[in-house]
Amino acid sequence: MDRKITVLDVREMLRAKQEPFQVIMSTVATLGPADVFELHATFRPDPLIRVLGKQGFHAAVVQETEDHFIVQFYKEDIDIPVFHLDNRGLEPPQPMVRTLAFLDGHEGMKTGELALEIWNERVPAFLLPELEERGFSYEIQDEDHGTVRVRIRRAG
Amino acid sequence: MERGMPAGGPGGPVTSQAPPFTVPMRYMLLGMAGFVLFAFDLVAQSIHLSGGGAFLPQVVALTHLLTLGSLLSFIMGAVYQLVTVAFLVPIASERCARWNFWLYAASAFGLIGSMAIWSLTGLLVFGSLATVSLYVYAILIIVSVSRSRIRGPMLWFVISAHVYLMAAVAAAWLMIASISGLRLGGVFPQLLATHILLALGGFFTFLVMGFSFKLLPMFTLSHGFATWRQKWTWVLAHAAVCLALIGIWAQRPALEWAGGVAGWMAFASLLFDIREIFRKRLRKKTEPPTRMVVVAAVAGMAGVLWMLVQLGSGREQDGWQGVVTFYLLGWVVLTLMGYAYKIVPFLIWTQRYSAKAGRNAGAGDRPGPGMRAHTAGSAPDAVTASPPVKPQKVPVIADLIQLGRSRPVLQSFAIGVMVLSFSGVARFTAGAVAGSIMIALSVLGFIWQLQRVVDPKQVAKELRGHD
Repeated sequence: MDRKITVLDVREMLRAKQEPFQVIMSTVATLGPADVFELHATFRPDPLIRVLGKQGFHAAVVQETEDHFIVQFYKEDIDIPVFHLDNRGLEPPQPMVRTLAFLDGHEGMKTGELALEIWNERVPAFLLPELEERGFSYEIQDEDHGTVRVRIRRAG
Repeated sequence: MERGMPAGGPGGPVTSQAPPFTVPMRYMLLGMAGFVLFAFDLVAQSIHLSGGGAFLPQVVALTHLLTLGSLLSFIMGAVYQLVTVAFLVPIASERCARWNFWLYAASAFGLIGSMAIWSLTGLLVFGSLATVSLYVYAILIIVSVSRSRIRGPMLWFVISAHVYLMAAVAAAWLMIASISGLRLGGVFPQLLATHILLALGGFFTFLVMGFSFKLLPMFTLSHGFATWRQKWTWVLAHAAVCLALIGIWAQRPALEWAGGVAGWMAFASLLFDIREIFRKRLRKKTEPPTRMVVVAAVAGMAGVLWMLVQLGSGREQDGWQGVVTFYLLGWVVLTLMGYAYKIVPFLIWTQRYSAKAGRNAGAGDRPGPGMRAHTAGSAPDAVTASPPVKPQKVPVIADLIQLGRSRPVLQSFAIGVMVLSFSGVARFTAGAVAGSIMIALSVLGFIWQLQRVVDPKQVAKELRGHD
């Protein structure tokens, strides 16, 4: 199944006191069944999470800075929130660097409250020992069209 | 970020371009076999390696057993794999790469044998076939990487390396033709110098430098380092080769010396780049093979410095033999050995375990639909609960080889290179023999460690019936 992450940054709109709801919903309408919608906002958008939750979307929230929240919405039903990184098309070692930077930089990964799913072009041979060393478990799925999904979470 | 745009890398999703396992592995196995033969032959010929034996047929054959029989074969396999990883493009023709292996293997070893017995017919026939095979390889790589959307110094280095390879091979063929009767007006010494310069300073050096800009960041997990110096490294390396070439043909030692200075500066620039890469690395603990690549780059710079001294002090054959030995073994071979410790396990792991990795779910984990799982730190249980299955951990790449054990192998190789090179210059036969033995033992230790990863019986099964 082809999948992509669609990104929408509404921080400028919010700072300009504009209402981004329509833009958000029209973007959501374009999503495919396996797509992830990534929203950048200046606060944690709990009302939107509830609205989209009623449409079957799950949400994973990470806070990058005091006024930068990234929320990813996806339909796959998983027991804990999952953040997604699309590493396809990136030159090595960027996929591995991006992944480890996320794992090391987000408290939710360390506490086990958040999982990370990366989309790579191949099974990341050099990443797996790093994951084991850091105490993470991983699940891998090869998809037919050259996408490998690796879901990473705190082991145990 | 733009509104409503798909995330991901530049150009969007791209599927893996890796060639079938058999293509790179066949070349690399031939290179490893050639390396073993080189180790034994090195000891056998070691008595000739001090006191100007460079032009003896068996020493010429020994040199080419290393360069053609081992290094080039291993490099071809590695490049067929690396091009797809570093440039995100497939090889222009996998079929051509696969069939060219047999032409290469037959012609290279035929040529080496012809050198050993000094058969002019053999040199001409196998030399011509090897020329065709190497041109096919070089053109395949140039065409492949030219299709990549990735531009910049690494691409320039790789293309330049293969252009130099074709030029070096042309010079070699002209040498063979001149030995066989083609009248070239007494330029054999210039052709020989050109062949060595283009092969060593051109092909091997450009290729190793170019891929180091990709491999070192990969193995140290480095990012965000400055890359502006890389283009100057490339310019300086070209200046070195071109000035030296003009100096050789115009018989202007000053130009040769200027080329040497440019070469030294190219290595200095490379080392600054390597320092940058190491400073910006995420992985604090670097592995011995990666550290040895840095030592090899220092050896390269020292080799060029030695060449400058040699240019200033005279043109004795012993000195040049020492320079070439030191540069080839200390820079080119040591670097390739360092990278091989990472590349070979990667290929083997990808072939044998990547489809199994993460398949077994550990206790407490709940794999998602269609996903296979692996728990860190413990042997996971099999997915099927009945009958009970002994927990079996799918190895990760770090389980295939203990990289710490590469340290004594690489260190003794480096010491052996110094002993051999300096003993050759000093005409100290016992030293040359001792250095050769050290190198040979290191090579055998290196191959022993890699064959444990490869598992010859299993790889034979994997290769069988894939042509």
